[in-house]
Amino acid sequence: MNKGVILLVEDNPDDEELTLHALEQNRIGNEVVVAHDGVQALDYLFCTGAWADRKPCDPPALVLLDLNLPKLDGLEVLQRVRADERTHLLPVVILTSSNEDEDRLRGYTLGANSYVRKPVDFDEFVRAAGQVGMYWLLLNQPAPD
Amino acid sequence: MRMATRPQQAYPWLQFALRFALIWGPLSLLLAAVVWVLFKVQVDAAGASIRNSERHVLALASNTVSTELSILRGDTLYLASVSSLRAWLDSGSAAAHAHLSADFLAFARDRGIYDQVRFLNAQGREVVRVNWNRGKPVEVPSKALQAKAGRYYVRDTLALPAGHVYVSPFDLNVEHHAVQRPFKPMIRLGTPVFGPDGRKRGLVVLNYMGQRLLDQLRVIHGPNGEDVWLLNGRGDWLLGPQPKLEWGFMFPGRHNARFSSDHPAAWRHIDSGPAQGQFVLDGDLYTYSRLPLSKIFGTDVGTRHWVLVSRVSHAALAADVAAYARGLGTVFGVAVLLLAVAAALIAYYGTRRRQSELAVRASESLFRGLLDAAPDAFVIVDASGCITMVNEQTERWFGYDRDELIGQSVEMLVPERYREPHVGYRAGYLTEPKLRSMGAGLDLYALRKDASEFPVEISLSPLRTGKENLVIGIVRDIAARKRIEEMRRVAETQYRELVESLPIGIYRNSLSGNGHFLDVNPAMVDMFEAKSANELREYRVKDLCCDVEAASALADNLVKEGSVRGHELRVRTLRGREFDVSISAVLKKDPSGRTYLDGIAEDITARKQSEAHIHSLNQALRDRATELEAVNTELESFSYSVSHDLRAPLRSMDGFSRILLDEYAERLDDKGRDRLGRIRAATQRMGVLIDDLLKLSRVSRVELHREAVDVSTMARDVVQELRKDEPDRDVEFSAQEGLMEAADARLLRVVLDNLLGNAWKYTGKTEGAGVEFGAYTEDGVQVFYVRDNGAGFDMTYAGKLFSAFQRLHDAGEFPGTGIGLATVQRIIRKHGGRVWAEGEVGRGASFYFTLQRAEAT
Repeated sequence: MNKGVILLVEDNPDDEELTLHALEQNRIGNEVVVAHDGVQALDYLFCTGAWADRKPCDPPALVLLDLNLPKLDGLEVLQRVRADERTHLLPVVILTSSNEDEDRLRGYTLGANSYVRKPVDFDEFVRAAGQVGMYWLLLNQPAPD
Repeated sequence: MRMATRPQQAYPWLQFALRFALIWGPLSLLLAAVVWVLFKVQVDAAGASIRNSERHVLALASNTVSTELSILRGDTLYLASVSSLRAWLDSGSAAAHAHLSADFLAFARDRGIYDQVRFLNAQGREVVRVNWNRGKPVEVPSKALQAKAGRYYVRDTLALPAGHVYVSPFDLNVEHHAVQRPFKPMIRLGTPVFGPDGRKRGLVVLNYMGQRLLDQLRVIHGPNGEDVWLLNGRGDWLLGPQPKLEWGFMFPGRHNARFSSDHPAAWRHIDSGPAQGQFVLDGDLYTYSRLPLSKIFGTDVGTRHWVLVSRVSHAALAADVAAYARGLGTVFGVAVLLLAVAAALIAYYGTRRRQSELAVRASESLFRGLLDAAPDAFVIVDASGCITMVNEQTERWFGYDRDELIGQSVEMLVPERYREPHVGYRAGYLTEPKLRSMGAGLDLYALRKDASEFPVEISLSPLRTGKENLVIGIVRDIAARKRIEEMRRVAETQYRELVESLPIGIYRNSLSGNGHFLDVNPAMVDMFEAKSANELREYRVKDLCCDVEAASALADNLVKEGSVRGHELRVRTLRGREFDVSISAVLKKDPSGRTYLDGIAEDITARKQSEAHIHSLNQALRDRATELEAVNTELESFSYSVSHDLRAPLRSMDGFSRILLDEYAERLDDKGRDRLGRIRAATQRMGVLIDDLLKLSRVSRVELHREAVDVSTMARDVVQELRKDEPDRDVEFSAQEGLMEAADARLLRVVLDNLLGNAWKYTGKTEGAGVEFGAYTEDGVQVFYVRDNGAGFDMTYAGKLFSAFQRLHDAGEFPGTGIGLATVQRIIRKHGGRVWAEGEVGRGASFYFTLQRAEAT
């Protein structure tokens, strides 16, 4: 199991709490770093701003990215991640309430690895989080450094 | 052209040459044949003549020789019997000897042809001898007499019986073993002399000077001057063409100089042929005659003979033929030339006559062709009114054959009522014949064979042929013209009525000058509120225009383009009311070059008003569309927010309820857990409701993309998914095969999801559940249906079926949001189709929908 950091980009504290709970329920013990907006997410990823002192400046094992975010929205964050050499192969799973075709299309176009809709039913949500973690942290072999 | 079909006329020179050759050629050939025959006859005659004269010449020569030899024989025998010789033989006296000598001397002198006249005794001793010495005879004295006993002539002569004459070969005299010169050709003749007792007493010998015979022969010539040659029996030349050839046998070195050697072939002919003969050898004509000496001298001379030969050379013969040929050739040449001149004259005049015949015939047929090709009937009449010639059109129009008309009075073509005056008019025309039309200003009629009449126009023209004065009547059938005039009149009336009755203003006005109306129709008069057309005609177009600049723009446009169409103009009536007209006009020129224009003017006031109305409506519509667009945009962002923001709290409610149930379960009693369960159920229903609402709103927002959709396959796919979700259900499903429709595939899928999903759901409590999908055609539109045998519904509430949140069933019995059918209806409407339902409680429901706008509506 990949022991790297999971970067959760989520502005809604309820969703943050529920997501962490779901991960925990699935016994995914990786360190979870939460960014509450797009800027924080980029700061973490590129070790800037509040995260300037992060050493070593490794990319996380997985990014769970909400779309509706203050400051920089999720799709902009994704665009920046894919544009940068250091992170352009980083697994990014979009985790959002939106089921709009347009959002899905744009997400995939910009290079999202998965698009998962947050179900209202928490049981389903827990199952979804478990499957995402299982897949990206256990099954999937990341690109070589 | 007719000319082209007559080559002999097109090529008179060729015709002349042909005629000339036909006359001159055969005549020349005939003449040549005649001349040739003549030539042959002449040549033959000339040949015969030459042969004849040659024969005559030979005969003459032959006679000459025979005569001379006969004389010689006679002389010899005479001397042997002369009396003085008899006397001497008897007496032997000197007197007798003297007498004998005197006789011999006299003989020799008289004859003058003998070189020696001698008598020898039987011992061969000369007794008397007279020599010819320098032209006179001289007696040789006895002491000079010689003994000649051994000589051949003495021996041969003495061997002969009495009365026989010996003759020696003709040769040259030899003295002292040498040929005496000049040559002395010599023939010795001898005869024995017997005494009375019959004893042989001696012999007489005569030496004949042969030159005399040769000289006689030498003067004999043929008609062409050719010589006669004398040969001995061996073919030696005795008398030849040249002296040097002669006597060759006398000289040891010239033995071969003989005729038989020089002309061996000729000699063979002569030697083996008959006694006389003629033959041609190498073109030379030979004539010969063999003279056997035995004829004169008896058989004592054996077969010795002489030969006389003449020869006419090939060249001499050919010269004759050539002379004839030249003469005849000249005659032939002149005759052929004369023939040529004659033939040329005959051919020339013959050709000319033929040419002029053809020309006459051509002009006749040209005339006839012109007449027959004419569209009018031509009737040619002589001074007495008799028809002399008509053309084909006459036959066609009047119904007569040509033969029925020729020679008849022209009045037969005139209707009965006009005949009498017509005779008078005809006579009158002849007194002043000139080209004019007949009965000017009158309606003339002609009479057909079938007694019907037709209107005509007649032109008269005098025709002088040199023989007589004729009149040409040119008749034109004007029935067609009259018909056309009538039709034109009718058409004009119709057009006039059309123009008068049309509710559109039609006018004509001049452009040059002051631009007044020339013509206007009643509609135009009404439109401009004029009292009459005349009142309107007093106005100019620009007087009626409100905007003078627009009027001149219209005029400029007309002049530039030649026409205008639908040009709008603001004008005013004569009473001052303003209104709008649409002008369409074309520019024209009358024959004198003045420009005018024909136009139509339409009052478009009403149209203008409705256009303005439509314009304002359009504007309103555009405004509404803009508003709608704004609303749509707003709705979109609203939907997005709903999707996002409305669901987030639901997730929190459900999520934390769930966590409570998990982590604080032991602190809650059953009631508390039930309450939390209700919270969760409500929350989740709310989630579904939001999703359905989003779907409904999405249907409104998406654009319709029609494509060909296999509806049957899509229906089966939907049912297959339903079966997968609820594999325990046993529902019999049947779908009609191959149903195609032009529709938006994604939206149609939502429709089928809902309708088939409903059928599936509402048959959930039915035994032997069945769902059927199919279609039929009504009013040209495909009507699809989904039918089930499930719970059904009460038709009383059928109107509420398709409204959002309206449900006919208890949610506990059949769960649902009440949005599905609303979505279906929205999609169907978006397609321009229709959806409706039929059902009965407990007996199933049928949902029908179309995806095309019905044609009738």
